[in-house]
Amino acid sequence: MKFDLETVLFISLSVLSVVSAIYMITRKNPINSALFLILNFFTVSGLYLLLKAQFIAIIQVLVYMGAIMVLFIFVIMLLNLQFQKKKLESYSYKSLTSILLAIMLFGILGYTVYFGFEGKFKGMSDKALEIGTAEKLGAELFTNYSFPFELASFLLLAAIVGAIVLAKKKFE
Amino acid sequence: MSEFVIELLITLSKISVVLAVLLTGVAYSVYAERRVSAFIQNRYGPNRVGPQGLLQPLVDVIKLLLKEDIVPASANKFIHSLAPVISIIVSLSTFAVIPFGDTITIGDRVIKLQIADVNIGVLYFLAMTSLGVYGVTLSGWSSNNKYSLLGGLRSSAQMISYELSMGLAIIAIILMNGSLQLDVMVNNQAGWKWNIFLQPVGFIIFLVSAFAETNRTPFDLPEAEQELVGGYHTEYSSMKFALFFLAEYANVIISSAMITTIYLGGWQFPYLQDFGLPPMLVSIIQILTFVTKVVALVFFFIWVRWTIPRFRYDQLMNLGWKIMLPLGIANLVVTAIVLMLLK
Amino acid sequence: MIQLHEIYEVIPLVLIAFAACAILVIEAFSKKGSSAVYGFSIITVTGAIAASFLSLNKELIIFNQFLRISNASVMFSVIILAGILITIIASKNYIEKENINFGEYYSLILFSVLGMMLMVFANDLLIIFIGLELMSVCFYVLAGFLRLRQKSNESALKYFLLGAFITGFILYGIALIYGISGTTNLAELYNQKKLFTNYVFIIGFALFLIGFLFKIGVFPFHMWIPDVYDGAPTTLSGMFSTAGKIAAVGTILPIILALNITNFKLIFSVAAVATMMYGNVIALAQSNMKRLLAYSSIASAGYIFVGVAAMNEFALKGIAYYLIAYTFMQLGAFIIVSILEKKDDGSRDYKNVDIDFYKGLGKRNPLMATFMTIFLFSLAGIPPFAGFWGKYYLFYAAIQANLIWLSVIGILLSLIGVYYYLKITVYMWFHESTDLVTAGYEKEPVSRSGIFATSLAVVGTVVLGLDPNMFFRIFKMIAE
Repeated sequence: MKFDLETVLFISLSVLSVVSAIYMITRKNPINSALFLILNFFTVSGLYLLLKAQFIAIIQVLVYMGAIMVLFIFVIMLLNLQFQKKKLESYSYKSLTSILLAIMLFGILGYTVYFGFEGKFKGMSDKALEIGTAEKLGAELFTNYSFPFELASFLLLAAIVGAIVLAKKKFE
Repeated sequence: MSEFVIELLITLSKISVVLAVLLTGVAYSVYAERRVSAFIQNRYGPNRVGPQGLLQPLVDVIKLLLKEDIVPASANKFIHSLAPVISIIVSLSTFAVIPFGDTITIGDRVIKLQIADVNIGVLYFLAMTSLGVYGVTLSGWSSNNKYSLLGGLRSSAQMISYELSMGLAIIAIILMNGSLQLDVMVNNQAGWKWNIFLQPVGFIIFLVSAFAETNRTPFDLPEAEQELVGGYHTEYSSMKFALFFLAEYANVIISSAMITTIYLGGWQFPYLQDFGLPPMLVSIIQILTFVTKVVALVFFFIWVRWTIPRFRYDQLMNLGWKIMLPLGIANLVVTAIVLMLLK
Repeated sequence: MIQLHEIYEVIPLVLIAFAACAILVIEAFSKKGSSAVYGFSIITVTGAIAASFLSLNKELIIFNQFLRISNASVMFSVIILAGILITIIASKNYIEKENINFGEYYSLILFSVLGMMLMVFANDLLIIFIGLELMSVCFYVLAGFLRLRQKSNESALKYFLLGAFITGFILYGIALIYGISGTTNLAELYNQKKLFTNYVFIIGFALFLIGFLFKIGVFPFHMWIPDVYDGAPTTLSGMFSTAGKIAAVGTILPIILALNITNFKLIFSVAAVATMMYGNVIALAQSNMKRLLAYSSIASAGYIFVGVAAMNEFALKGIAYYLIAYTFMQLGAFIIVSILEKKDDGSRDYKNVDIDFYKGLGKRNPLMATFMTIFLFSLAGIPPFAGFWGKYYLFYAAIQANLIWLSVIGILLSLIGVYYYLKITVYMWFHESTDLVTAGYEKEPVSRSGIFATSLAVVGTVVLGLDPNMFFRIFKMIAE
C-alpha cells in the first residue's frame, strides 16, 4: 500500500465517517444526532470526490445536507423533542440479542465482501473516471436511461400529489 | 522544489490574498452601508475616526472583540458557538470557485485567477448557499429564545424557497453554456455578449433570489426588528455577533460576485484585447473590472436596503412560490426552445 | 435508443399514465361531487385491459431493453387491472360515505397501477425499483386517506415506516447484484453463469427477495399486514391485498424461474408452510372481519408460495389461476365489508366490521349475505367455486415437483381455514342478530356501485369455478 495524498485522505475521511455515524446513533440529544448525520454526509461526499464522482459528491451536499437534513432539523426543532432516555438499559436481554445479531451480520457481510471480491478489484478503469462528471452523467441520463428518468418524474408527481392530499386538503 | 509544492504555495497565496481582500471588503462594506444610509437619510454617518471616518471599521472590530461574550444560561452552548462559525465558513468558502480574473503570467508560469477551477463550479455555489441555512437555523434554535427561533425558522423557509428559483435561473445559463464551470461562462461572455442581455428574466430572478438568500431588505424578515427584536442573532454578543455580521456582508459581496460572474461578464472588459496592451496590464485591468462591477452591485444592495420597505411574510412566500418559481420555469422552457431552434 | 413506435407496444401503460395525470386536471375543473373522474377512470382501466390483449404473443424487449413484454407479464397485468377495475367501481359510494370523495383518490390508484404494471413488465432492476416505489408511495398515502380517522393514520404510518425500511433492503440488494454482475438488466443477468457461486450475489439476491417477500406478506415479513389492512379504507385494503400482492408475485416469480434457484426450494417450502400455518391459525382468533380477511390473505400468500416452491410448469399455471381467483374472492369479500360498514360519524375506528355484526345478516340483507357466502366458500376452497381449483392446481404442482409433504401440510392447514370461513357463514345464516346490532340497527345505505362491483366478482368466482380452463382458453383464443 502506498501512502500518497489520496490514501491519507481516504483513511481520515472513512474514520471520520464511521466515528460520526457511531456518534449519531449514540447521542441523547436528537439535534446533536442530526448534526453528526450531517457531518457523516459531508465525509461521504468527500469519499465520492476521491472516487472522482464530483457530480454525485456535490449533489450529496446539495440534496442531503442542504435540503433533507434541514427538514429533519426543522422537525426536531418544531416538535421540541426531549432528550431520549436510555431505554436499552432496562432491556438487557434485548440489547444482548441485538449486539449478537449485529456481530453476526457484520461477520457475514465481512466474509462475503472479503471472499466475494477476492482478486476482482483492479483499480479504477478509465470509464469510471469519466462517468463522474456532470456531462457524462447527463448524456447517459438523457439517452440510454431516459426511460427510467422519465418514470422517476411520475414517482415524484405521485409523491407530491400524495403529500398535498394528506397535508393540505380540507377534510370535513 | 517539486511541482506539487509550488502548486500548493501558489494556491495558498491565492487563498490568503482573496481572504484578505474579502475580509477588508466586508469591513468596508459595513462602513459603506453606514455612510450611504446616512447620505440617503440626509445626515453625516461615521466621519470622525480617520479621514472621512475611514478607520471606523478598525475601531468597530476592536470594540466587538473587547465586549463581553454572553451565552444565555439555558442555551445549548456547543451549538450556540458552532452556529456563527458555520455561517462564516460557508459564506467565505463560496468564493473558492469564483474567477476574479483570467490568467496572470509570472515568469513562464501561467496562473489561473480562481482558487479552485472545479468542473461543477455552479453546483458548488448552490451547495454552499444551501448549507448557509444551518448557521441561521441552529443559532435560532440554540439560543432558546422565541424571537431567535422564529427568526431562524423564517430565514430557513425563505432561503429554501428562493434557492429553487435561483437554481432555475442558473439552469437556463447552464443550458446556454453547456458547462457548469464558471470560467467557461465568463469566457463565453466576451465583448458585449453579457448574459444580462441574453437572459434578462433570469437576471431579475437571480437578483431577487440573491436578495432573499442574503436576508437583505426587502426580504430581511428573519431579523425584522419591529417583530423579532433582532431575529436569529438576538442572543449573540461580542465576536460571535460580529461573525454573523461579517457573514451577512460576506454573503452580499459573494452574491454580487456571483451576479457579476454569471450575468455581467465577470472580469470581461469589452474589446480590451484590441488595444494591444502588455499582458500584465491586461490582467490587472481585468481584475479591476471585476472589482468595480462587484462594488457597484454592493452599492446597489445598500441602495435598495435604504429605499424599499420590507415585505410581509405571506407576500414573501407568495412571491417566491407563485411568481418567481413559475417565472423561472417559463424562462427555462423558453431558453430551451430557443436553443433548440437555433441549433 | 428509444424509438417512438415502441409506444404502441405499451398502450395500456400510456393510457394509465395519461389518465392518472389527466384526472388531476379534470378534478380541478369539475364540480364538487361530480362523478366525471369516476367514469373517466373506469373507462381508462377498461380500455387498458382491452389494449393489453393487443400485446399478446409478442415477446418483445423494448425501450432500450428496459421493458419486456411476454405473455406471462401481459397476463399478470390483466389480472392486476381486473382487480383495480373492481376496486374503482366499488369505490364511488364508499368514498362518498366516508367523505373522501376527492379526485386524487382515483389518481393515486392509477399511479399505483402504473407502478405495478411497470414492475411486471420490467426487464431491468431499475424499473422494478421505480415501479415498486411508485406503487408503494401511492399505497402509503391511500392507506392514510381517511385522514381524520386515527386507525387510518396508524395504518399509513406503519405501512410507510416498514415499507421504507424494506425499500432499503431491496435497494441494497440491487446494489450488490449490480456490483457483482455489472448489470441491472435482467436478460443479461440470466445469461451470466455461475452467479450463485458468488457470496455477494447470494446476499444481494436474498436482500432483494426479502423485500418482495415483505410486499407479498410471506411468513417472517408479514407482521404489517393485519394492522395496515385493518386501518386502511376498506375498498383499498382489498386492493392492497390483491393487486399489490399480485404485482409483487408477478415481478419476483419470473426472476425466480429464470434464475432457476433450486437451492432456495427448501427455504420457499418452509416459508410457505410457516405462512399458511400462521395465517390460518391466527385467523381463528379474530373477531374483526377486516383483520380476519387480512390473515386470510397471509394464508393465501402461503398457498402461492407452495407454487413458488414447486417451480415447475404447473406451478406457473396454478399461480396465475389462483391469483385471478383470489382477486375476485378476496376483493369481493373486502368490498362487502366496505358496503356494510357504518357511515363515517367522526369516530376513530371503523364501525360494523366485527364478526358479531354478521350474525343474522342473512335475514337483514340476504343479497350481501349470499355474495359473502360465495366468496367465503371460494376462499375456503369448497368445490364449485374458483378458489378450489386454484388450490387444486397449486397442490398438484407441488406433488409433481416431489414435494408431497408440502401439499399434505398445505391441505391440512387449509382445512383449518375452512373452519373460520364457515364460522362466518354460520353466523350469517343460522344466528339471530345480536341485541346490540338490532338496537342500533339502521338499514345499510344502498351502495349501487358496491353491489355492481361485487356482482362482477361473484360472476368471476362462479364462472371460473364452473369452468376452470376458461381463463386460459380466453387468453389462448385472443392470442390466436
